[in-house]
Amino acid sequence: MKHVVIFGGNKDIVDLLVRLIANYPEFTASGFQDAQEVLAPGIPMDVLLLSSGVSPADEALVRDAVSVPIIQHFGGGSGLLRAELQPFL
Amino acid sequence: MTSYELHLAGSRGAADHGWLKSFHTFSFANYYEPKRIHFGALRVLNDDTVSGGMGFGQHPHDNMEIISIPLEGDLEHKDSMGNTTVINSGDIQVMSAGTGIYHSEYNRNKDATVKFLQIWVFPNKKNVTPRYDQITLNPADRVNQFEQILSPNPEDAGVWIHQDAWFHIGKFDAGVSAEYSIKKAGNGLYVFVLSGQVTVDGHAMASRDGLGIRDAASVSFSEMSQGAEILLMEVPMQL
Repeated sequence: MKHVVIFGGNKDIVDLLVRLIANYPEFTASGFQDAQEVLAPGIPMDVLLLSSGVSPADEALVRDAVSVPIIQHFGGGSGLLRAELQPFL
Repeated sequence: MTSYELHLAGSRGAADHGWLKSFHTFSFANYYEPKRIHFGALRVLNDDTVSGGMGFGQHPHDNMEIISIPLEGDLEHKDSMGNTTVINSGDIQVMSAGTGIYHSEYNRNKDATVKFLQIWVFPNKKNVTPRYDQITLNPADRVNQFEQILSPNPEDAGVWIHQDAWFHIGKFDAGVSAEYSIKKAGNGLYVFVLSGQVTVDGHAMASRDGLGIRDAASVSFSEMSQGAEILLMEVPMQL
């Protein structure tokens, strides 16, 4: 079981991605809109999924700070999500 | 050296949800094929058939240029920017999802199916302001020639998107030959046959076959069958 952290500025899309990923048996997920929440100590993270609406500064901050694989998510919903996560199974 | 990647119609991923039958040229939803993820910036090419009165309920998109080309029937569009429109065969619709957009697409008719192509292109900039547009194309403009239906330029023919991509469509009489010149060096061309048969740089293609062409300056089309209809998608190969 791998834990995906979703970081995005659009709460509705982040919530949707959390719900979709939670339906996959191989993954769990949590979502945040604030970079400091993503980087807070104790947040489990095997994969970071970057969604939309993140400022370049916050994206750079998070990219520099984490050491797990980072996926740039495109498209919003379920269409591409499975293919984006599949390589990390 | 020019290279070719032929995707026969029957090799596409197939999904049957009852009200929706879809063929995926590239990995989408439950269809996953590592060798078929994308062709450059072209990420999704779905060939959808929607039953009468059915459709896609409201759902979000972000950071994607989404192009819909109805082939048969009428599709009713509603989105979070307040647009409520109908797109018909002969129209082209584009959405720049950017920071996020919600929309629904329904078959407007209860007694007829809708067939349309759903095409997603990676944008060349993230988090743009969402936008929507649709235009009606003139079928006469594509007879025995390729008509431009999409470009990166708002002032140019067709709709525009946030990507250095150009789409053309043509419908040809039997025996007509045609040529397409790549508009931007380094771009690839994805050829999708909507109907009929055609030979593309020596590759025989039939309805719903796709051919990805890399490192070509121009591409030749010959041995067209009567009424052969072809969609060309020129896209950047580097993301």
